[in-house]
Amino acid sequence: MSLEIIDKALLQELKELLEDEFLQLLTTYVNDLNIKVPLLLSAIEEQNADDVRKLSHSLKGASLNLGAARFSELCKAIEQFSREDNLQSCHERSQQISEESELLKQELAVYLTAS
Amino acid sequence: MKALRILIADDNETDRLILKTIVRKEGHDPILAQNGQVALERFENDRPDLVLLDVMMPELDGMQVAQQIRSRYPDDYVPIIFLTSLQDAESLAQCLDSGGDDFLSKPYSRVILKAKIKAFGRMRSMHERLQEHNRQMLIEQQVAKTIFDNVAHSGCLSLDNIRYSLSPLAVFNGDTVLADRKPDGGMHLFLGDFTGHGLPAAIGAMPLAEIFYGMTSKGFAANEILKEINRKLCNILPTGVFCCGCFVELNFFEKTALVWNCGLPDAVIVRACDKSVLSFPSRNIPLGVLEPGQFNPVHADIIMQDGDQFLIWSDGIIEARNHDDQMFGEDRLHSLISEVPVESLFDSILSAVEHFVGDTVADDDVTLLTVKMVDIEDIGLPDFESKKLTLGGPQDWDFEYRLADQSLQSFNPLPLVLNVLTEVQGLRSVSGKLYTLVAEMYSNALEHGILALSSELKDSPEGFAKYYAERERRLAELESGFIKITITHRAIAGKNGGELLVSVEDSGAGFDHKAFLAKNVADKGYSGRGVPLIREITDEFYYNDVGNCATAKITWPVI
Repeated sequence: MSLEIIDKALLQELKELLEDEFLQLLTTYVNDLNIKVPLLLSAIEEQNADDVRKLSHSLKGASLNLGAARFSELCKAIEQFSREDNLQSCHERSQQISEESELLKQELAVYLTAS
Repeated sequence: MKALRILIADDNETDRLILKTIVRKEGHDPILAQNGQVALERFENDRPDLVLLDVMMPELDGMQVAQQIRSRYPDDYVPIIFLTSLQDAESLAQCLDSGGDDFLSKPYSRVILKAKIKAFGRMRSMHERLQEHNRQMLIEQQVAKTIFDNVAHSGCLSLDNIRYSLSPLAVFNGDTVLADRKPDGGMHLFLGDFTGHGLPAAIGAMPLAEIFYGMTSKGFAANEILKEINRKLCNILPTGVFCCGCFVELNFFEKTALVWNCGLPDAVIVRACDKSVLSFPSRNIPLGVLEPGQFNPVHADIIMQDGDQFLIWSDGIIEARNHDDQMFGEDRLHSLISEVPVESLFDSILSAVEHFVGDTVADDDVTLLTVKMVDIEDIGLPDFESKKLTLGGPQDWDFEYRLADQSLQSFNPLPLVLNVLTEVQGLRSVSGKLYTLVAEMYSNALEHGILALSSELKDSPEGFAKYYAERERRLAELESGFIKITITHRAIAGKNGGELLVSVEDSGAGFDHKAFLAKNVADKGYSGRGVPLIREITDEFYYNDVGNCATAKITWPVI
């Protein structure tokens, strides 16, 4: 997949839209990542398909709004697997989830410091 | 476009933040909720104009929230837009089924959200205009109903022997129930069912009621009133609008009933003694259809006993539907009538229909009228508050009216005569008795004097029907004859009082009046009221030698 990590155009639109609250948005999102990604990884370990579905759905949605294309696609795949009760495939992607979320945070960090 | 209150229900903080900002920037007021439960609370407290609803939320999910909103506020339509990243057709359809109107998918586009807010804002404002219209219409209906009630006034519907069911706004479904006393103590009743709904149905009821009450109180006969109603409705109603009705005339002295059914379901009499049922099917075209010259309503006549009940209903009862869309039907009605005691018929029918319909659409069409034959003592004689305004009135006058030949068949002079008599203020308090007296004298002149009918026939139920049939026959064949009514009134010198002399002369052969007048209280020969009535109201009553001219003298004040 050659999706970008961040859709810069979309993020720019958001910046113009939110103005002073843009920083708050990014901070909120990153906090969300920091809470939900570990929870997601635990849920996969514990084979709790229901929780996996809810968490991956939530992360997918928020990521879509921020233009985090690659991460949201990953979450979408996880959500689909969990609906099919295919926790094995989820488990195989645990490593990827950790890595992608870190990459994402790094990209966003640029925005947090730049503005 | 005015600022809308927009409820944003989403469990994700970033989503709430983005949506809140877009909403604010478009000039509207955001209300936030982080889960389904809070969303409902905020909806109830803040009553937003539009709802943006996330599908997956903790506590209550989006679809449950939508269902709750729709069921709790069925009359106040607030557009609901689901926020979702779901894409399969079935889930999306489910969202709409639960009460949603549209979707907004992620990532949220300001441009699209703005367009949707505008579109649904239009829908909302259209809805508000509609609600305002409805409120306005209800107010207008109330006003119209007040006017109608003043015209229709309740007549004598509050008498003990009458019971009726008519929903308060039934006039707007075309249903109307009228009842009034005649000057001679009798009663006219009418149940009408106009075609159509709303104001057009109600408007016809007003002239109908006006004619009914006006003519009944002046002593006009039922078929004259029906013809006049038909004539009026023909004139004013458009084609296709008419009134199905049933008209009943009751005579509490003779215990007789006359029924004209013009297009309603069968009216019935239920006998108190054995619960046998007599049906009176419609034998006439509804009112307002036939041209005046063509409308000659026919009636059925019957003798009743005290306790017998008349039941009249519109087809609203028969066509009342339950949850399974079945009709109540005539069969159910008739088996109910045979099962239930006569006194509780009215209440039983109403509760049976109520029970049958359950809590489906509130039924304005359950119109039912029942009247019981009773002793005249139970309801008394009518108290005629005169509509005339003249004080005093003419004190010295003579009035002569002669009806001859063909005119005897079709014209009833009694209301005219009563009108003339009640110009004298002093006679108004006894107008009922006066009318009865003059009516008696006239009918005797016509039936016994000119048509030579014998009143003995009227003593049995079968004879009664034969008597009237014979009366109609002889009247139709009448070629010559006359009845002359002569009235003189003089003031009594020196006091506030007057003397009235009424004579009714006919061209018949006369009869043995000496023997007749010698009879006493127990006599029922004089149409059931007996000589006592005449003696009660008149100072003198006598015949000429031949016996074809009766004269009554009345002085007032009558002590």
